[in-house]
Amino acid sequence: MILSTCVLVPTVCFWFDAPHLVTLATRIAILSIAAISLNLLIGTCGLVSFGHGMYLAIGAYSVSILQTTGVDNGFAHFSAATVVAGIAAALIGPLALRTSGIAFIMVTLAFAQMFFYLMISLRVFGGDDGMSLAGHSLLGPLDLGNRLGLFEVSVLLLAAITALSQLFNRSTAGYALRAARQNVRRAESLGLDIHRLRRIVYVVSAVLTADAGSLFANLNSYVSPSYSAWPMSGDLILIVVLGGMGSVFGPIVGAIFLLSVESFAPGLSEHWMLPYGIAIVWIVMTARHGLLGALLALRPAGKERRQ
Amino acid sequence: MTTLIITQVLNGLQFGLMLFLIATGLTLILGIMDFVNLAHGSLYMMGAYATATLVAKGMGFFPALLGGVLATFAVGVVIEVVVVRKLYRRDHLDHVLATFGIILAFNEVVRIIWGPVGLTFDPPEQFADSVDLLGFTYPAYRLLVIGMISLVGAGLWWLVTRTRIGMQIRAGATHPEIVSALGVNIRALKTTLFALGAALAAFSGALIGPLRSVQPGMGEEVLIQALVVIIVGGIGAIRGALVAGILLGLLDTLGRAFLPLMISRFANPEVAQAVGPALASMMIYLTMALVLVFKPAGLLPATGK
Repeated sequence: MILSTCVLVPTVCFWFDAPHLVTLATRIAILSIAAISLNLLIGTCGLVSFGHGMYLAIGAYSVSILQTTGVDNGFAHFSAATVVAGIAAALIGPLALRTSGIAFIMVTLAFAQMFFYLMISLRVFGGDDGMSLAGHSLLGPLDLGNRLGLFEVSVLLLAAITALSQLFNRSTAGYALRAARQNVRRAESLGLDIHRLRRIVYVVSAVLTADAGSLFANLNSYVSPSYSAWPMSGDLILIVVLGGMGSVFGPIVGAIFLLSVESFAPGLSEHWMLPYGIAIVWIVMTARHGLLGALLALRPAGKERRQ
Repeated sequence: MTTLIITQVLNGLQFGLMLFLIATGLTLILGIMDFVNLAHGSLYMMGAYATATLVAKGMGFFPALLGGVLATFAVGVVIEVVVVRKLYRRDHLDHVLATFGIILAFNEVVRIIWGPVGLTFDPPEQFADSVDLLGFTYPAYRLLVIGMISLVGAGLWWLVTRTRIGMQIRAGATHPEIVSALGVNIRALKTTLFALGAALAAFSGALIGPLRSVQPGMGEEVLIQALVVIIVGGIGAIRGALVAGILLGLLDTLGRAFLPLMISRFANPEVAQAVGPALASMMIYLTMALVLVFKPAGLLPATGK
């Protein structure tokens, strides 16, 4: 399936002579990576982070800031993103995890907003104008400025993260965290160190989101403090919840839906946001497990009809 | 300098009371009905637009304000009956998603009816000028805002703690089955409370109208600030929202006014110009993070639950 996506999507796009579709597909892949990482917190731990935009921004700024100092080695960019996001998450995680529920949502928002205002005030790194990338990350012979190369790398990374996240959910730790989502005290009385597990998942989720951010910078050739602002974090939550947080594939479905609508609907009508908003309300009211849940529910119904 | 400080303190107080008023509707709905209403900011916007339209039609400021609030109350009833009522038993995330959809729809409705460009409208004539307050001048309208919000806040406190309907609301929050067994129509009560929250949001939106421009999306920034206020104050606590609103309003306003000056004492002015406002914007979030880490239930959490 991975291979077929890697080959099929670009072929179809070039067949129709629509290179912007490759950009859209890459966007979907990159934001799916971020959303799957976020879903490790939302779906597995039951912790809604409203601040993952910050890690996306950290990953993106790692590329642009290293570029200005003349480092165009992609491995250096991704390592920097990983290390900086890892340190930030290791510091913020224990503080934020003292809370849960709505308080956790708001603490994570607070840190992301503070990072947003920090980047706005740093004129060296473009302030609120953001920075244009001087060049792109070079992964050995592969230049991420190359649209197709970036697409393939993003899809491969997405596949790897989907597989890892699936493995994690089926591991003991995954089961432990889902048990704790129901009842923390009971899980802890079984001898599980839920707090430690959550701290680790928070850091892993942050690091993966930052790597998505580095890809995102390469895609947009531009980095802005707004990556860290709440609308971006809100979009990531929207992708996860709309797609269905119960499954690893839910966020991918969410990303495909959300980004396709955002990209095609404005061409149909100037006022596309009105039906779109109503559609979201309708989806929430009718589909209990997100879009993926609704799609899966169609299948057995079809079988019954055949019988 | 003293005049400047007093002016800024009054500005901060006015902003803080405004945050309080927006946050109370949100905190009542969240604390009592356990519903996360992101569309609260949209109702704030509706109030501002409705009032601006009525003023433009030649109505006086106060009748227009009343009209705007009543219109938004009606919108609140409709939203509760059509959407919100069916989601009370769902997860908070479903609330967030559904009300986010409502935000998008409302912003577009506003753009279709009133256009993408913002509207402005004037404060009432008798409050258009500045008044002399013990040797310095201050805009009369801002004083009017402070006074009106204080009145509404006191009225709200009276409604929730001293009246029969307030008693039913508080009892319905903790023991809905018992209250409805006693013959109270819980569904109607919830609709009323939701619409009351909408009316409070509309009232704040209409009051802020003459101070800032009325435009699509004006509700979102305010929504985030109001969420910060209810978290700092404690969810469901009107008193907490009052204290947190004033605290954050003062911090934000005074920070914006004086932080750049303070920083320029020991850094060059260019740095101070860049760092000061950013630091001031961070203040409310920094406060929230500190409060949550050390007092996760908020400064003055609601009691009795």
